[in-house]
Amino acid sequence: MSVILEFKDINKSFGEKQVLKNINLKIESNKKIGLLGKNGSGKSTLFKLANDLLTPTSGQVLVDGKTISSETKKLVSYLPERTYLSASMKVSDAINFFADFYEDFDREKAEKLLVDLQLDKNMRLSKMSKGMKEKVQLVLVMSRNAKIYILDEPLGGVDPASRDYILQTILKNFNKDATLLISTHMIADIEKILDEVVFIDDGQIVLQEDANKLREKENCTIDEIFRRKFYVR
Amino acid sequence: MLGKLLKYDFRKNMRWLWILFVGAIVAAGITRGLVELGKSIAFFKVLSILFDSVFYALVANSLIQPFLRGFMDFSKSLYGDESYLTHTLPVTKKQIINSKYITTFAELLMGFASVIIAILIRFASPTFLQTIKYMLSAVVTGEFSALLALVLMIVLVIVEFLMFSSIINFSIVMAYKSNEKKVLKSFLFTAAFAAIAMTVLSVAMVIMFVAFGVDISSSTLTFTAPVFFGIIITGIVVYLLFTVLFYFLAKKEFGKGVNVD
Repeated sequence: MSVILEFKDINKSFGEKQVLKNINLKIESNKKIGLLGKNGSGKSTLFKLANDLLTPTSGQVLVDGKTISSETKKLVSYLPERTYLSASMKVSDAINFFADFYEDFDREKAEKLLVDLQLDKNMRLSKMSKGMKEKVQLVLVMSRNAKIYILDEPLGGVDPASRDYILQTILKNFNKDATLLISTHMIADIEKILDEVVFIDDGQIVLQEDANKLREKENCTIDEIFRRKFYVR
Repeated sequence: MLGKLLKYDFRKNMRWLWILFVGAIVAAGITRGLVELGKSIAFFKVLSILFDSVFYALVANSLIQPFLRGFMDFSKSLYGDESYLTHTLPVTKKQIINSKYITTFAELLMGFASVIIAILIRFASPTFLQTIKYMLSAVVTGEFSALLALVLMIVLVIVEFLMFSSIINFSIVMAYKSNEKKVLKSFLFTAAFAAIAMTVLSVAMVIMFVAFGVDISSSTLTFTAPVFFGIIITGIVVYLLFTVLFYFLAKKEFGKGVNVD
């Protein structure tokens, strides 16, 4: 399998505080990978580095073997934990915006997903709740036929009743030849879909392993392994 | 891709800026009509005074709002929540910064154009240029073209706005390189860079005065026409140079990468 995303000797500091420490991580294509860690462990920082929102203090981020550029951004579909759409936009404006900028954007899929998630495309984002806005962003991100989907806490602002439905939406709609890199601390919700898990703690990768092998080896769920590793000292 | 960025940047700001621009022109027309009617009917004179304040408010906002919106949108799109979209679009950093500068400059120019049209509608008369010349005669001696003086003064004010806009954008880029007190640093950088620009302008003026043989120790503030035009042209050149300089510096520093909160 080819490597779609690679972090090479990455260090990231904010002033005196070093938040990522010598990260070396290879993400292979056609896999569903969970980046798991506590709050403040460095998950979002890693994703932001992969999306050109942060500049590494040292090291290199490679997407499909190339340094980040406007070309590599065509391959990545990123769902941040923030709501980034202008509040003055209608949902239909946001769809037009994505269709204009991303050649791989599937407008029909987006409109179908909006119906599935009961979102009105004529509604302004300023009139929507945080959860609704997050769903709109999820629709936009999942309607691209990207090579890699990077989802940062996609279940964070969603009510528990909708979580399973959102997860199914993600799974049903991402390009089957693509890689799904998903971060969350709600491990129990997503662990059944993962091929591989990466544990990050205090800015360091502490484990990268096949999800099934890890479960067999430890004879328990990934959620339990995670809790044992990070919360029970 | 620059075209697409421009389309969305323009649309975002012009959504309500055009109301100000058109409003200033319409208010000028109404006020002018009321002033004309007020010459014979006192009621319209009272109304014209009321509309005059609306006219001046719209004119002031047509100049200030594109300027304010320019740098507010710059910081919001490049470093606020919206930056999560901006930086992940398949566009280059150069295209992003060019789009922001072009949009701000174009909106400023449109604001000035609407203000000039509004002022002409409100005040134009056969004696308009003579009035300007009379006002300028307090500082300019000898024969000069009032139209040329007016045009050059308008250009001077426009490029001054462009320069400050360029300085503020560069200051924002520099301030957001650090991890804390970014807004305060934006203000401090702006003050420092503006001070540098104004110092250079003052030095350029002194050189110009020396070249024209002006006695700078004199307490009177009157100039010959060539010196007066020299002052304005020096100002235009210095402001333009700093506009371009800070644009290139902003582009260079922004191209090195960002650190979004």
